[in-house]
Amino acid sequence: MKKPFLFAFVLMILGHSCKEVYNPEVDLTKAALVVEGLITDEPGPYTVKLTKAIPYNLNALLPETGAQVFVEDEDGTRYTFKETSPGIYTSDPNKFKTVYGKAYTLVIKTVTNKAYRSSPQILYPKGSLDTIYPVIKTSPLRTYIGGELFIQNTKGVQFVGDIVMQNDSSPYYRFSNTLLIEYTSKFAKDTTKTPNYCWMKYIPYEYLNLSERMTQATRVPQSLGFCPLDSGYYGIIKEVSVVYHGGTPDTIVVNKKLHVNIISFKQYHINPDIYQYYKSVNDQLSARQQILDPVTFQSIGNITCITNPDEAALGIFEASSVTLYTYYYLPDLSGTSITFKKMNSLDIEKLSEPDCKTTPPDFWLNL
Amino acid sequence: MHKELMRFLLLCTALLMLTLTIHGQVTDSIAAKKDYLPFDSVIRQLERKYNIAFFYEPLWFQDVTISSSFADMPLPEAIASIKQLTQLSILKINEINYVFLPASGNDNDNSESDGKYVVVGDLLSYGSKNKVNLSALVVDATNEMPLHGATISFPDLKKTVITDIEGKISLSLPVGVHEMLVTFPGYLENKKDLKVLSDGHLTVEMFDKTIELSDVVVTANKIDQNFRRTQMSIVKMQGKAIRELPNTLGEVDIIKSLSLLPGVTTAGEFGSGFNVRGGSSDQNLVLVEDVPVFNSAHLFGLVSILNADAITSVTLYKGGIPASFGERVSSVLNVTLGSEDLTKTRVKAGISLINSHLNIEVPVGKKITVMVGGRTTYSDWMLKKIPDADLMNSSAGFNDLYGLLSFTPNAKNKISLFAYSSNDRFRFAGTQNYSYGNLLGSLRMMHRFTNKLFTTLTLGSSYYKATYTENDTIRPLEAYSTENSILYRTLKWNLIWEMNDKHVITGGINAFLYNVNPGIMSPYGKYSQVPSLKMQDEQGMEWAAFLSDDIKFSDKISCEVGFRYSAFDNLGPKKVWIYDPSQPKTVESVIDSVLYKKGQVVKAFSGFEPRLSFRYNFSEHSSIRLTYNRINQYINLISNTSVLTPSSIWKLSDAYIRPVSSNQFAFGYFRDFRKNRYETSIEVYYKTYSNLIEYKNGAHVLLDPQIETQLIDAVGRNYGVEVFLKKNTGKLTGWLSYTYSHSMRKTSSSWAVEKINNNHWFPDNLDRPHNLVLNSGYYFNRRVRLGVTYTYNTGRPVTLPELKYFVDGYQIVYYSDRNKYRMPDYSRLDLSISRYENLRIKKKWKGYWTISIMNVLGRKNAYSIFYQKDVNPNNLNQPSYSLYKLYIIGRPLPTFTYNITF
Repeated sequence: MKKPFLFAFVLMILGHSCKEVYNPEVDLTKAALVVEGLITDEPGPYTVKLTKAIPYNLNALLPETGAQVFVEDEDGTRYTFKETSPGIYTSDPNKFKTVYGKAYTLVIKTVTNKAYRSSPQILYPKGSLDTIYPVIKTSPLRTYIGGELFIQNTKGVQFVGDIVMQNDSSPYYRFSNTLLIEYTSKFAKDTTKTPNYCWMKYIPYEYLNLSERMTQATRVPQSLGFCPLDSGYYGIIKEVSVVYHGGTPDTIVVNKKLHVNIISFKQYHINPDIYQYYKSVNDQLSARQQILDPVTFQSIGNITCITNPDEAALGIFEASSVTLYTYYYLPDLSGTSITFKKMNSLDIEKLSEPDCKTTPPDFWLNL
Repeated sequence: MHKELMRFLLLCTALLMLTLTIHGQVTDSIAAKKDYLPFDSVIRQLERKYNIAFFYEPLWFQDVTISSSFADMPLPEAIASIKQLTQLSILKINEINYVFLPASGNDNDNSESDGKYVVVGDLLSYGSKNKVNLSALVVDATNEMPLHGATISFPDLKKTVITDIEGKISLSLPVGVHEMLVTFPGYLENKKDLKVLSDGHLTVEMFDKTIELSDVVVTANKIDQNFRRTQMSIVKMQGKAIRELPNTLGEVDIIKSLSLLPGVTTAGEFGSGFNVRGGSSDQNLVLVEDVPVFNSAHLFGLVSILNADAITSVTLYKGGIPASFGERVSSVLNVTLGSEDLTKTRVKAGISLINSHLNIEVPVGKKITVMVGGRTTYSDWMLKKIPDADLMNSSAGFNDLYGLLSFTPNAKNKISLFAYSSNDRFRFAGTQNYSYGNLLGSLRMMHRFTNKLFTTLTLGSSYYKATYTENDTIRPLEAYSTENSILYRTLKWNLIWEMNDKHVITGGINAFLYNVNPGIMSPYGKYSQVPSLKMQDEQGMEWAAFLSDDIKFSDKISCEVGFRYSAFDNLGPKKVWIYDPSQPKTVESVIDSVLYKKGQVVKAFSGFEPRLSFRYNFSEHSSIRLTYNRINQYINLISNTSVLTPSSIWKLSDAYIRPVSSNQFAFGYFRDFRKNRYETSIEVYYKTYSNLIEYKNGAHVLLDPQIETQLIDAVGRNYGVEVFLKKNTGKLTGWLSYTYSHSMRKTSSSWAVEKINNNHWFPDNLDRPHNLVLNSGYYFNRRVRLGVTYTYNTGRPVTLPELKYFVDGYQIVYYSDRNKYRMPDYSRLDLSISRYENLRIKKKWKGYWTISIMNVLGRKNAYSIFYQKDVNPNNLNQPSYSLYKLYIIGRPLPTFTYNITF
């Protein structure tokens, strides 16, 4: 929708309306603690990241250091998190092991003697995706080139999983999916060199991927992301001209060849309040410009400042179980079908950032 | 054209002859006098001596000289002598102002002037009765149009009557001499001494301010009625008062003008509707010929849908709303169109650079009058001149067309048929189209059983529809169109019984049917892949019965007591979602649904709506008044912007959205000074609301089948004090008003997502504590008038981002509490200058042009504050945020309009 532009247009008719940057006297002294805490059913250590929110027009990251952080279970047992780097608090994996069905609460006390608590988070059992299957389709895909938004219809593979209904009170999930693209690369002018084993990552979802509303049905199809089929979309093209600057200008042709696509799906079984929080985050992220001062998109987490309930406490503490699924796929030459197979679990999120090696890395898939 | 020219020449000749005749008489009679002066000079001496003013056409007395001894005479003798000398009649407007007029008579009445008194009745019947019946007709002197609502008072008898719809009154008077005072807004006060001999009839001609030559009255309340009306918080404008309102884009705009009065505001230059005492726009019932208008704006609020030329009267009830009105909790704006008893064809037209308007009223025989009119824009040519590809492929405009047919078969019956159609269209860059329109119609039948018992029956219908299409050729797969609409039908029956001098009883029954289409989205074009989506239609029926009594205990004390009982049924077919009561209402908390069949009652509401108005007059010039009213509203406009736009949707009360209920208490003190030359008032009000609609953070309200999940129940309280000072007469007229007010809201949910500002009171979007308006007109001479309007408002509340932080790599903005901050204060000065080309009473045509400049100071008043996310190419998840101020008219905006009436 572009209604805002329509309104602006009416004003332009008069030739007298305009917009200009506005710098109001906003309360920039306001402080708020930001919490990013996650415990799962996987072996620890778990981390709680504490930072301070900054004025909206500044760019900085201010860690909250020196705080006392611990997670309390419903029996009153406390598990301490130690600050391992500025603002990063880590649990002891030997002492803190989560148990399904238990409720955990994050408790924080800052150096300024402000105390915070999260709402209790129940660790639900793992969720289950009964079937994961690919669907080849054309879908409008947003891309940003030079800061401009472009939408183009792109052929790709839509991954869908059927969520199996659980017998618990929180049929809410979020998904964290990552595509690993493995490709080989070599210099065209130097055929004697061995190919480089390269990889890159792609997140096939624009925002946070949340489950749809669960119904009475036992299986609910869930979109898990859309990956373009053309490897050129990821920069995997056969010939690339590379111009080196700084030294003698030269052009080297590089041949890149797609080896395989590996995709991992992580299913987090989350509490209802966390689900609502992520939903509000998505709303804010996907909000578009509205000139008629719309109702704002506020994200309210599950942290409360107990020493001053009116003080904002931002972020969340999440306790969730994680189910990991890993598949690889290869499109055929015609692009009308793909080979899609399950493989051993691989947590792509934990892999190092894009790189190239002269020898195949451990996770290199030998087809 | 030739006829007009001939008439003009004839008139000039007649005037010249008249002048020559006067000149001859005067020179003859004073030839023997040695000490004589120019006529003007003697008149000025009299004016200075007695602190009075004479008004006349200077041409009549050009080169005329009269004896200076006139200036030494007592005033009555001087006036009598001048009358005799000039053979003109002199109309005494009030104690100060006298107007020379050509002597004229009226064939229909049996009154005559004996020089001192207006004699009513037959001398032969004198003495046969102690009391006689006097009937009177009050008409506009220029076109003989009856004036409905004129006040005729007899101070010595302490009697006041108001003319009926035909401009008539009938009352019983003791035989003898009585002072009679006739007033009507926008017209000169007419004071006569009556010598009542027997039963008789009198025609009172009222002259509007153009005849007064230098005096002008811009009245919001009827002069003197300020003290005679039981109700308060009412703004009433008729006739010339409407025509003298400030111009907006070259024409009088009723709604924009209303916002200059205390307690009435608008969101700014842009946005539909107006706000009364902190209420939202949808809480105003805008009635045109008894049917409501669901969008009263053209061009998104730049112009209102009503052509001022067609309007007979406008009444705005801000409080103390009579029991005969309901439906909306904040105000009632009642607009009537057309002339009641037209005797000749009347045409009004205006033309400006971007639009034109035309209004024609034609009598067909003696029983039928027809009014048709319309407006249209032709602004596209301007767009083509702008060197911008998008604008060159754009268009914008509106048109409206209306008609009113009145049929009066006899004195006891009257039937009127009204129709109105309007369309607004916008097309931007050839890809986005927006259109909306109103279609209104009503049939009204009035019957008079006796002189004291009347009834009216109204059948009405109002239809509003808005559509939007987006058809970008670059993205044909995403092309779509949406529409929403509402159809309203009404049947109203009212009965008015003027039982006696102490009681006027009004009763009636109203029924309303609603059919709402909350939204349909459809693919647009053959390539579109947008799925179709249709919201459930809504149906509802509201009915109400009311009874009120306007009781006059004495000349000092009166009150109006009324009761209204309203009921509303939301009707099937409808699917109602059932939510888990242990959770907030969200899409996820649905546990079941219930289907209702067609006509089945989904949810029923009802309630009493008591009304009370009390008046105590301390004297003829000061009074206090007290009012209370409760109203239930069963329909709301849903919009997630603080400014109403045509895309907002109407929503009926249902299983989850309860009717808004409001109680208002108001108290006022009113006082006139110097015989109504100055009028002052101070009003204090306190309103409470329950079941107000507030919006969750980030609420999506368009095309949401479970819209209740986006809304929050809230209560509200509005309070304020309104101070008003008005000068009614003199070269300088106008008013100064100041309002201090607050509009506060509060949620009470226990769920975090349904709390706003942690359930503390917070300012509503319309909370603007300080409002100052100066609106004045100054006549440099009888033809040239300068209008000055200055408005100051506290800026509207706004929610701004305060902090930002990161979650899972995404940058999130944390906003302030809802409406914690305010936009910059609003300040605007408008000037206009009008020149009237022709002021003669009998002149067939009158034209005037107006040059107006909006925002003379060029102040960039913020209309809205919004943020814009700018993509960060280095990290798409971390856009940069900037705040922007949008202003509508950032520099002086001149307009020119020529209007003509004939």
